[in-house]
Amino acid sequence: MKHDFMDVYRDRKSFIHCLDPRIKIIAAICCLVFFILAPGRNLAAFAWYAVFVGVLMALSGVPVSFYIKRFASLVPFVALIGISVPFMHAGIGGVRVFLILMCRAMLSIMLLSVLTASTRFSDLLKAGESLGFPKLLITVLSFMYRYIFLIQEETMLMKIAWHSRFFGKNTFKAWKSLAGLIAAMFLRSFEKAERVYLAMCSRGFSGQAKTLTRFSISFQDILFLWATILFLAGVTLNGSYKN
Amino acid sequence: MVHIRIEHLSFSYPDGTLALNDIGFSVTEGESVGIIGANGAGKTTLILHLNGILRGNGLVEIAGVPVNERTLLVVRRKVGIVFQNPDEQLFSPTVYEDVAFAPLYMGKTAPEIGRIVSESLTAVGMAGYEEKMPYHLSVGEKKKIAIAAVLAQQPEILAFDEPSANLDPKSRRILLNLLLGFPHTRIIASHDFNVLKELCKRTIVLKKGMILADGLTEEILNDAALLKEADLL
Amino acid sequence: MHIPDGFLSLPVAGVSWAVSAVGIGYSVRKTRFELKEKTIPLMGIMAAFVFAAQMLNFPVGAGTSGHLLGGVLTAAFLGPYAGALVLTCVLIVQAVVFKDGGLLTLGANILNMAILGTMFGYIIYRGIFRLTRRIGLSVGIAGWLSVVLGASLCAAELAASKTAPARFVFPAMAGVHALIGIGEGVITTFVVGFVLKIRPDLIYTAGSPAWSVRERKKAFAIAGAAVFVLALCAPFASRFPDGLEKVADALGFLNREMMSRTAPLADYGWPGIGNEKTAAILAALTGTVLVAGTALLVARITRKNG
Repeated sequence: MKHDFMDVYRDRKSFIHCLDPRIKIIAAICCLVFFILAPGRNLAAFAWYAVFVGVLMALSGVPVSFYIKRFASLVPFVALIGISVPFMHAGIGGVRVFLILMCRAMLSIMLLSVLTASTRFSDLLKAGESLGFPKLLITVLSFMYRYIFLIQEETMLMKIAWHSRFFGKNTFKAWKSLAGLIAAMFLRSFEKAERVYLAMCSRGFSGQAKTLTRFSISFQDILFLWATILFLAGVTLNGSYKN
Repeated sequence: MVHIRIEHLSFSYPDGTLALNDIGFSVTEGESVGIIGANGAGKTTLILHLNGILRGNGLVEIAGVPVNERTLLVVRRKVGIVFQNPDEQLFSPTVYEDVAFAPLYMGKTAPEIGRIVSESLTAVGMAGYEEKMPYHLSVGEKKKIAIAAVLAQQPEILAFDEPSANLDPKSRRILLNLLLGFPHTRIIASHDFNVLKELCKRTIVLKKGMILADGLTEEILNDAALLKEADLL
Repeated sequence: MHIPDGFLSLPVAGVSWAVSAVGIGYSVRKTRFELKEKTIPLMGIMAAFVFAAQMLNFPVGAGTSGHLLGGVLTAAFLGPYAGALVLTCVLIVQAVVFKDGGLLTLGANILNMAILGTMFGYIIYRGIFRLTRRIGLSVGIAGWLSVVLGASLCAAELAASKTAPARFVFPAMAGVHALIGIGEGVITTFVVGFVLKIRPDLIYTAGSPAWSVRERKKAFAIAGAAVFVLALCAPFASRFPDGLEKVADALGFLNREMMSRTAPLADYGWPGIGNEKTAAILAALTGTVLVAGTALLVARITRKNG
């Protein structure tokens, strides 16, 4: 993986892409809260949530195949974590509990997938800063994201080399070699950081991080946020009181 | 006008290695000087003294301004250094932000920054790349963006550390044409004799932190005995 | 150990977010205070390194493999505060970009791995170093402990959310991670040893003085508050199934977390009816012991320091 595979989709211009990133983050958090709060017996609410996420996916301009792939690859992963649930209860009850758990987890994951596929990471960072996230963290995240794929690529090469020598062997030598690999990566990263710092200083950096952004919230953004909250609140409360 | 003046410059690293030993030379405005030497001869160390990243004993003067703790910001505006590895020079999420870094830290306003970025990218033939992300670019493109990022400082002097490293012949040609067009005073440290022949009338030869020779590029690069002594042949 | 969304109840997620936020805020303040200018790109690139390093799996036997956390490793070179921030960033990117761990549960993940695993891991390492004067041994033991404690706190959170019965998830999590922790400890020891041979100057030495009395009081207060609130949630625990032993037998191999929910209570995301206090008390007690133990260790070290 040489670079973030989602970058391809982030430069499109769908409805979701054009929303203010801060609104998207706030809306996403509201959605997540609803997904967790809804009582498990309120199946209608979950159905509506799925429809809602589906609509967002459609509006995001990102191909369905991308979402399907994401879903398919993450389901077994999450399922493994909740694997013992069906065994814990007799019969249908246990399976149902397991499925509701999976629902909550997968709805959250797919919602976040829409968010991250339709928003540039640097915009997410700037939105976070605007919403009160510590500036230091934002700057560190910015650097991290820039170098993550580069370092990952270098690591992969080393990992392949290590695997071809030590695959499956649980020996002292294997562990020492792995540690040596990690130490080498560490030192390279450290020295890379020192050189990046030199480049920054050469261009006038003097210790205090500065950023450039301007977001503006439009009527469309506010409308979207309120529509989302009202809709989700509606389907959640409706189902909960009916029973 | 003397743009760079260096007199009796010596520098040792914290671990004691003597990297530069009594270096002295001057560069006039508009001149293009090459620096050659074997690995470890001190080329990069010397370049890092030009903008005060490293400060040794002796005099380093940039456009009449002596380089010390107090003049760092001034000097760094005048000298733009393009380092060897573009990945370590392009550290922002987008090309725009990388090129905007220097004017941002110089305190320019947003519209001014926009103008400078635009001009710098056009100067290297990369207009329209503002929204691209550095890790998507090829080595040649990254090198040009790195140069644009340094041009955005609006420096008077440009220093290059191995500008043609890792470039294929076509990209190297493009880069050379680019550099030929710059009016700045240029210092170019390189192993690539072809680059030096084309860009620099004058060349300084370094060996183990000392100046072995300082003269016309033509003569120096044809002097086999000299090159051998400098561990370059 | 990355808890996905939906596996923690809102109160537990909320409390862990609150405690994490305090921890992050404190780390930000301390890092800025100690900040050498080059720390910012350093932290970013180190975060990228830790992220990549966490991709490396090592076998721990019984067909399981674990991977590095890197908390104590990072803190050994960057210090507890910058280290905690680095791990926090790693967790943020893992959750947001790679969906490894949820967003509402991110607070808990940060608490377990960045605050407990890294910041307190550092304190433990320094404490042991003071006793043994051997860096390799100290980071190794601290590395092991950081993983086990982090996993235990994770288990406590899952138990408090009634996602899993305490008497099952504690041994499961702590057990598996006691094994994985060995890998963490051994690798941390080796890596630190290798790096120090080449660049002994990189080891972190505390620039600022040891915690002041006021800071120590704050730390105790926070730890105490966290335990108090968790204990408040605990009494509203669910009834736990009897088929527990059957499960433990059927699934002889433990992989990551295993949990259960009883039917009526799983429907609610927050405390409801239930009188089974046994496991709840067990959870609260274990949590208390862990946090109190760590806090005591902190006190001992800072007393020696100050």
